[in-house]
Amino acid sequence: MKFRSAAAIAFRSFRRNRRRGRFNSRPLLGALAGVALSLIPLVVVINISEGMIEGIVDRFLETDSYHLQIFSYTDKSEGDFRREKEAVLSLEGVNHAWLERQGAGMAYSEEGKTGVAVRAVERTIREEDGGFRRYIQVKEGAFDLSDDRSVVLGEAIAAKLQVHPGDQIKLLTGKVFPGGRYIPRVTPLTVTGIVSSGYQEMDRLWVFITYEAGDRILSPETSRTVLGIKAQDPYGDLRDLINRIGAVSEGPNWRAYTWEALNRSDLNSYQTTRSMLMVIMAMLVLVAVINVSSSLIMLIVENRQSIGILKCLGTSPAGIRRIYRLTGLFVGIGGALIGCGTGVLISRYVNGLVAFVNGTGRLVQRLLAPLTGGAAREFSLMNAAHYLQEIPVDIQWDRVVAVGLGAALLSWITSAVPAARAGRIRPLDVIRKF
Amino acid sequence: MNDMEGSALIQLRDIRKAYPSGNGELEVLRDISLSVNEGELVAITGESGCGKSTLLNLIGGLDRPSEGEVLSCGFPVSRLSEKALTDYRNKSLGFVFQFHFLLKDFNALENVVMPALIGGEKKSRALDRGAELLDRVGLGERKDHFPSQLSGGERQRVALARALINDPRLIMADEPTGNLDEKNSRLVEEILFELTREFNKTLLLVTHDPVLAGKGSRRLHLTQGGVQEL
Repeated sequence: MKFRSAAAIAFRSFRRNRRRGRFNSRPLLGALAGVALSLIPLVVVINISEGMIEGIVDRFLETDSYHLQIFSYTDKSEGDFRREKEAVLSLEGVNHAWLERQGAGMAYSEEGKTGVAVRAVERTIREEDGGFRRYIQVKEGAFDLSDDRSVVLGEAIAAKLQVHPGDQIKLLTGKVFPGGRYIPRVTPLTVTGIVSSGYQEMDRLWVFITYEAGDRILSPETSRTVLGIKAQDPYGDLRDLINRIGAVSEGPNWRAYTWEALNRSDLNSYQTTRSMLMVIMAMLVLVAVINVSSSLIMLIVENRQSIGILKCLGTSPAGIRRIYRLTGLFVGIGGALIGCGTGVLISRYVNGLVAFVNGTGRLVQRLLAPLTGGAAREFSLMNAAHYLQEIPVDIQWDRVVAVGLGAALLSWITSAVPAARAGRIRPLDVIRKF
Repeated sequence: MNDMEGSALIQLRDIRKAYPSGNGELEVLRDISLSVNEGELVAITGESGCGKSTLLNLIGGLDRPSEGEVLSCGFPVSRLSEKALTDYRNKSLGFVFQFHFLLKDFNALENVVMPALIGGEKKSRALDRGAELLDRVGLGERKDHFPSQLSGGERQRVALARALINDPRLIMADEPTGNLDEKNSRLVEEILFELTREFNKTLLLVTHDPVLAGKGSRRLHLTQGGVQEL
């Protein structure tokens, strides 16, 4: 039997018989739907996890860890750091270099208090650094660090302290003296802006002050100065740049680290979580594909007489096997097309879908409020505190296609057993008179 | 390949067929030898259970004899491989069964052309010939209808057209009217004999119906003791 004839017979199982008012084989459509449904979450996870990891990494790179950080293992003055900065800025492939002093403190207002990560940065960082500007969005006021008494707060901190631009907060830092004596230091600061990085973990921690203020109020024992570097291609090979930095650095004890080295544990954690999710989702696909095999067995039992007739008419066992291998393949291809297509669509519009579900949930919550006495917390599909405020989507076409092809191929492979069984049906057993 | 004697299309030599039954075996055919020439219209009669259908199955390559040899259309059927048997069934034989055995998911025309497509015939040519054959059996207007939309007689006529699509040398009909009412029986008989004569086919017809058996050019009666020429 030619491929075309076998394919035509195989394809017939999926057609809707208008006169009979139903599909020729419902179990097959069920199997096809199973493959499609199992692929949807896998495709969505592929597209969203990559986007989320990239989104989070990109934010970290641009707002937190920089592309490279240079530390000193010995006491260096601000002047040393400034000279190092100038030397680095002269290198090809470097866009920016920023001095930052990092420490910890306690911010408090009349309404509340919270522990904070103090980031003493150069005044023009947001103005000049496009990457920083892209992710640090001003929610109220301005990112204005023109005065040493200015402070810019993360959105969650401002909410906790219940302050707005123009309000005063106090920043409690400390100085450790020889002998371990700790003297607290309170610095009144004026809120000039409230910002969001789009990632609530960051918004809950960061307060920005000027580098000069940080140098003054952050004790060297409890803080450190770093030189943050923004390269032209942060995802490229940064080792060459590190080597060139080493060549222009003044004196020993300077050490440069890439963003990957600085965030290694977080990156590993993301990758492991994603891999685990993939494995779980792939198991779902595997179960669905095995279901193709059982549906084919049902189809073969249902079509036993037709198989016998085809053999009487001259179809060889190989021809029968080919028909059912193709049927399995068609289930896989159909399921892959529908599943991958739907998965890509859901990925593409996932933020709208989440907003829709949240909106609907809140509407239902409001409608039921008279009966429930009002819910304590507003309905939300995902706790925004642990996620990016908007899910970044990065459609991974190569992986989506690979997953679809894999599902179709697995369907074809698992159809081998039922197809062999169909090939062994003896026509005589079917046409024998009752 | 052709080790047939004279112009015999079918030759059975000392055929014995037995099926396992309990601890022993049930012998259905014993010492059957016969010869059928090309163009003969042979009716085979006999009591129920005497092995008429088994004989057709052996000639059709659907079953193998326990002993003896079946030669048909130039093929040593009882010794053919599975692959060669499927080619033989496709190219040399046309089956018409008591139950129409049409494919339920395919319409009348598709059912008719199925053996041609299995044999690798070009689809357009097969469809033309299928439509022509459906016209000949009086179902030219029903070619798009599915088996469930046809009467018993119409289904048998579709099966007859299907049996002729590959222009086989031998038509084997196993009680083709056994399931039909009187009127439809006569119509199917008429078409069956008319077409086999017109296309110069050899017909092997198993029937209980003496009227139908009488229409053949030769009549054989099968008993437990062997084949008797009537």
